[in-house]
Amino acid sequence: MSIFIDAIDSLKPNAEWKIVGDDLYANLEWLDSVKTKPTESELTTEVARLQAIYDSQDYARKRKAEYDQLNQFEMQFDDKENTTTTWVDKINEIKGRHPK
Amino acid sequence: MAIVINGSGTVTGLAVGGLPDGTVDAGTLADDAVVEAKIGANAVVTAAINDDAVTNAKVAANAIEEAQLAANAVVTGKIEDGTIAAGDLASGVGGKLVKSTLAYNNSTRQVFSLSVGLQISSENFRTPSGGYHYFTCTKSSSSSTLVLNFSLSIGSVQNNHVFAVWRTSGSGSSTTGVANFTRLAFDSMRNMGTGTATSEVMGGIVAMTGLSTGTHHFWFSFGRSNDGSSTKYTLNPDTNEGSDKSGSTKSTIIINEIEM
Repeated sequence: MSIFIDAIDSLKPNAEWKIVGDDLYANLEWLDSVKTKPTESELTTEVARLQAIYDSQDYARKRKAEYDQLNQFEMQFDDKENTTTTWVDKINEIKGRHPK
Repeated sequence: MAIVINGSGTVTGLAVGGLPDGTVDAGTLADDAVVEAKIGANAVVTAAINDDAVTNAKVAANAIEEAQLAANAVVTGKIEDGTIAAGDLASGVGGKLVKSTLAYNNSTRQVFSLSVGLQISSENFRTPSGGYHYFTCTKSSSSSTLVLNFSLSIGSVQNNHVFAVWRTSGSGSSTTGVANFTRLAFDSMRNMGTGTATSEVMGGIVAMTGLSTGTHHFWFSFGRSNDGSSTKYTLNPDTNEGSDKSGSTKSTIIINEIEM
C-alpha cells in the first residue's frame, strides 16, 4: 500500500472506501456510512506527515538492507574464536555510510 | 412463288430460309425486334451475357441454391452479425459454445477498503458499492453447462480472511442470506496479508451443470469476519503498488455456456 492509503487509514481507521485509478483525492470514493470522508486538506497534511516520517527512516532502511546480507551470528562467533573485530567493524562501516 | 417487289416498299414471295446466310445483320433489325418468343431454348449462352448484366433485381427470390455456390464462396464478411443462431451450429467433438459472456475485462486499478466482510458466514452478504464483485449471465438452454473462467490480479492484500466465488439463487445484487449462496471456489488462506501485504493471482475454472435457463448471479468476494476491522486489497495493481512492480495488470472473467 502507498503512503496515500496509509494516510486514509491513519485518519479514518477501518473505514470503507474505494479508489479507482491513481492515488488522488479526486479518485477516492467514500463508501462508509458512519465515518466521514476526510477533506482533501486533511489528507494532504497527513500524507506530508507520514512522508516525512518515512523519509526520516531512509537511513534505517538502507542499513537494514545491508545488515540482512550479513551472517552476523557467524561473524560474531568467528570474532570470538579468532579474537578479531570484523563484525563490529562491518556494522560501524555500514552506519558510517548511512548516517542518521 | 414468285418474288414480287411492290411499289409500296414491301417484298413478298420469300420462302423460309430464302435469304442468304449473313444477309440480316444487327443494324437491319428494328429496336426491340427480338422478343422472348423468338429466343430458342438454351439459345442464350453464358458468354453472350455481358459482365454485370444480371442485377439483384433480376434474380428471383430463392433462386440461388446451395449447388450454385462455389466452394468457399461465402466469406466471413458476407455473414450478417447475429445471423448464426445456436441451433445452426453443428454438434462436434468437445461440444459447442452457445454463448460467451465477457463479464469483466479491465486493467483499471481499484483499491478497496471494506470493514464488513464480503465473506459469507453468519452475517448477510455485504454489497460493495460500485465494485466489480457482481456479475450476471443469462442461460439460454436448460441442458447446457455454464463454465466460469476467472483470473483476478490482486495486490496489497491486507488483513483478509478468504477469497471465494459464489452463485446466488436470489434476486440479483440485493440478495442476502447465507442460504441463497452456493460457494463455487474458495481460498481459505486465513489471515492472508496480515502483517505484510501480499499479492496473488486468483484464478480458476468452475463448471456448473443442471442450472435452469434464465439469469444467474455470481459474486467474487474478498473479506474477513464482521469484526470491525477492515480488509484492503488492490484489483489490477500498477506502479502505485511499488516501483519494483512496474506496469499495469489485468483481470478477466468469462462465463461460457457450452453444450457438452
